[in-house]
Amino acid sequence: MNDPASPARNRIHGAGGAFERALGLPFFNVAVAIVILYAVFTAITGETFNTVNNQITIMRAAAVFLILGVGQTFAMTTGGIDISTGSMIGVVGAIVGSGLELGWMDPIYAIPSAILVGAVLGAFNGFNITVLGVPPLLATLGTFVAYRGFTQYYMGVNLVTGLPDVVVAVGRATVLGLPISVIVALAIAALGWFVLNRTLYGRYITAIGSNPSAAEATRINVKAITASTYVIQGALAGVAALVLMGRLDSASAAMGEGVELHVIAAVVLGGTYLFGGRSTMIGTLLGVYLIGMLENGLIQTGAGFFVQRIILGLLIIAAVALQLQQRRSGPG
Amino acid sequence: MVEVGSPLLEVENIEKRFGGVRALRGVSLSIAEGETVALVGDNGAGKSTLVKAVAGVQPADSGTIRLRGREVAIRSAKDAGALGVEVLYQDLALANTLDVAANVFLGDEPLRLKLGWFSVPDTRRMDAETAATLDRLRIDIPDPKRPVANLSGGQRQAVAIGRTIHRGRRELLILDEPTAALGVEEVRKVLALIKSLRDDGQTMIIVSHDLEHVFQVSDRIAVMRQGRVQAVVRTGEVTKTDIVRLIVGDIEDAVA
Ligand SMILES: Nc1ncnc2c1ncn2[C@@H]1O[C@H](COP(=O)(O)OP(=O)(O)OP(=O)(O)O)[C@@H](O)[C@H]1O
Ligand SMILES: [Mg+2]
Repeated sequence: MNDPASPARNRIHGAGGAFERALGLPFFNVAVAIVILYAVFTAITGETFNTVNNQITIMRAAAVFLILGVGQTFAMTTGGIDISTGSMIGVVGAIVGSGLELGWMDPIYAIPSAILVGAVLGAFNGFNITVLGVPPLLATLGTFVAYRGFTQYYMGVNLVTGLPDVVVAVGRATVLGLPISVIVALAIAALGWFVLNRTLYGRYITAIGSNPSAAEATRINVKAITASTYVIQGALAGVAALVLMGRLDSASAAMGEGVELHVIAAVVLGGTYLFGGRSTMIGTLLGVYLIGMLENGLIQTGAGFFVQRIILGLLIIAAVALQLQQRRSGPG
Repeated sequence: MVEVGSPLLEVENIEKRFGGVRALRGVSLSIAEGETVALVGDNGAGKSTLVKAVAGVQPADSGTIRLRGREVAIRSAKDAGALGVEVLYQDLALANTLDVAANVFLGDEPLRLKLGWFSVPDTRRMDAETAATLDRLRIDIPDPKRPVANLSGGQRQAVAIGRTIHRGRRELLILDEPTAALGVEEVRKVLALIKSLRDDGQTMIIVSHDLEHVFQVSDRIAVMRQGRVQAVVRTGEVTKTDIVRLIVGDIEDAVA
């Protein structure tokens, strides 16, 4: 595995040509996939795909996935996963939405309260994972079901409507033609990139995912840092809930259902290791765009919702299989 | 013989259980300042368990630890680090996907901007100090910017040793099998390093199965057997055969 004389690997990481260096980038695969799919959809749809307006439509739809993808990337870097994101969005929508509708809360508190409620929901995941030791997949499967159950119990068939202007603006307003939701998502991704690549936090979550006992033997507070990735994911689910509520100008018991699939697929396709220790925020950005583009293109070529789901599910499997393949042949 | 001062570390009656296994059954050991003590014993004797108890990664169930005569509570690796105890673990390897400097400084990075968890580490300084530490070990790593997963076993061990010594003189260095799995040349370099640390007056505990190495570097030898310290002897006053007999239990307690 860690044979230093593996020549192909050495060349990729060594002083070789620009092409070879590009091959070594973790998000190389996803970048190639984007170029190919873009060409295919443009060819099939006869140019309706390849327009500025359509690209903005893709980005608007993908904004929520990018916001959540940043938190998912952190959690996955530690070797964890969070599949409760869609259900957290549901709870935030129910609580904050009804709070606003019933006038319990001034609209200025809409944004901070959504983030706070999300962070609390994420902290519960973090507690279960680090203090009780429940494996992340099962801990968040539990809250995936429980949080959605709470939302359905609380909301029933009602719909929260008539949301204040701030919330609607987060979902719908544009600046210089770009939706605010897209700008927010890109800003969060940029911050996420900085945290992952330039701060102790990024190093520590990478060390935890790479070798938890090695991290434990240093002064890193492994439990607190691991738990914090779920708190961040929860807070970002709060932001995502605002974007969704604003876009629909409503909140329902079903809000956020299924987003976790898109998010996990995007992050893994982007090149972040499902097993932890290696991650890329640029890959997540590209993965989110790839998924958004795929859905948009499939709709335009006439494929229905169910076909999209089939492809999405198979893509997750393919991305993980590819990682396993690379892990067997590559280092680490 | 190195000049030896007052007790630096005293462990007394340390007990540690893993379920039904009594890994440590009342271990007592005293180490003087500036001294190098070798810890020997068969597989499963409890050497690594004792090391981890002193290092805080697997705190003892009971017993006391004193540093410079003062009783200390070591409940985590953080506690031990703050007291100046630095450890090379036998089995807690490196973070494979991080590079050499990141591993050497993990959990102890120099900072360019201080912001708690979101502090920005000073990578240039880390790279420079890592290069200096590797130079000191005389171990060549062609591209320290690559993830350590790509390194050979000897290079990885060098990085782990670099981790324990990069901060210079510490209160106590504990090296658990520093020469295991190394080639002849690497072993020579590591032993030379240990000798130079010893000449600098660094207090050390060295765990090893290789009695040749033990006799080269230690002032005293502590022999562990079945979770107890069976004997502590002066290196100059015994032969390898004596030690082997103590390890397998041919001779009973002999404390020098
Ligand atoms: N984490 C653990 N869980 C359960 N048992 C353990 C654990 N760590 C050590 N032990 C047991 O404690 C005893 C002492 O183990 P230890 O690792 O301290 O031996 P050692 O002297 O370092 O041996 P070696 O020379 O093989 O490294 C053994 O019986 C071992 O199986
Ligand atoms: Mg051992």
